Amino acid sequence: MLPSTMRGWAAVVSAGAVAVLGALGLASIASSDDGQAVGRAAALSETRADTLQRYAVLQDPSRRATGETVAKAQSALAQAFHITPAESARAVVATAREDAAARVTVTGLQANGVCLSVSDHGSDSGSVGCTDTAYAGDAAHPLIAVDSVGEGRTRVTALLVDGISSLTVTGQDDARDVRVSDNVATAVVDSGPLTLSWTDQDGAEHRVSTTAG
Amino acid sequence: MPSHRSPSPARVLAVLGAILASSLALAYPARGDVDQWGCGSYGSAQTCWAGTGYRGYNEVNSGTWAGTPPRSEWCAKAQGSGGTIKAGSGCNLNAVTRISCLDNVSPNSAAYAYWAGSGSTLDVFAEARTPSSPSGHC
Repeated sequence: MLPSTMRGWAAVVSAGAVAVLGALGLASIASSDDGQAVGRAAALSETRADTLQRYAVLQDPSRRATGETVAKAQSALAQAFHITPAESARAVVATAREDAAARVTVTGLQANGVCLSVSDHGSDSGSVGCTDTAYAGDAAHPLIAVDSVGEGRTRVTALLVDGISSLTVTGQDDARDVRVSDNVATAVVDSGPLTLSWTDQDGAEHRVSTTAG
Repeated sequence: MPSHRSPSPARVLAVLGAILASSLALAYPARGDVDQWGCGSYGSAQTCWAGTGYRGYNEVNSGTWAGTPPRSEWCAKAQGSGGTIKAGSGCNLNAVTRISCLDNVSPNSAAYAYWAGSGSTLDVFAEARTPSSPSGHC
């Protein structure tokens, strides 16, 4: 698995990048003011320390995808989606799910934010992406990974809030409904621009489309 | 068995150390095993290449400041000289960060970050790593 606090990673990289870019005299990219850049880097460093403390818990091997872990984590994740950002800052939860068919482990982490981690057990590939809890907990803004798996195929993995039963994946030539199980929907489809749509528990319809980037 | 290893706090600290150490050198892009680049400040969709040519990367990452509202797509990819997107590349929708662990080592690949969706101006940072990088995530 790739449990990771991308928020922490972003902070680390951002702080480093500020230093690198500042050293290069590219202050217009990193910051218009050196003092401001240093201050921002320091603030990010504090965030990183908090993140690392939480992350130590998530490193526990017992949190791997055993049945008990999955059950606890799923419950915790669902709870995380319904608490306020302030409350979420004090929480550390994780969920993991094995999908034998897709050979994928999906992990949602919640510290200050929610992360979606996807590991393909059939290769060395995988991905992590994160966002703030407030957004991930919004039915309109679920975290979705769109990963190239080679041979012109793409794996879509969505981490959805409670009350969403299926995700419709529409490609260039077809559309398919993917069942949501334990807040996760995953499918492998042909590569190309995709439109993903879902209906939340209030009946509101949502969609997001990928671009060719 | 999955080949991914969870980056330990010590490894993350090592990342910080490596990045800060690299900041002491004026070489750009970063030397050796890690290429890092900034993408400037933009509010709309952008593609931002590493500019380091084709290398044997196994990891491409991109992100912005913590607390930034998510964008519709946030991507970190490696592309072969023939234009093929390397397996493991991809995007996260409604996110502000992306780690892409490529399928094994992708020889001769060019790395880039991409993000789509409108919003306030944001700073984007990216890096690409080779397998000999001591502190990668993959």
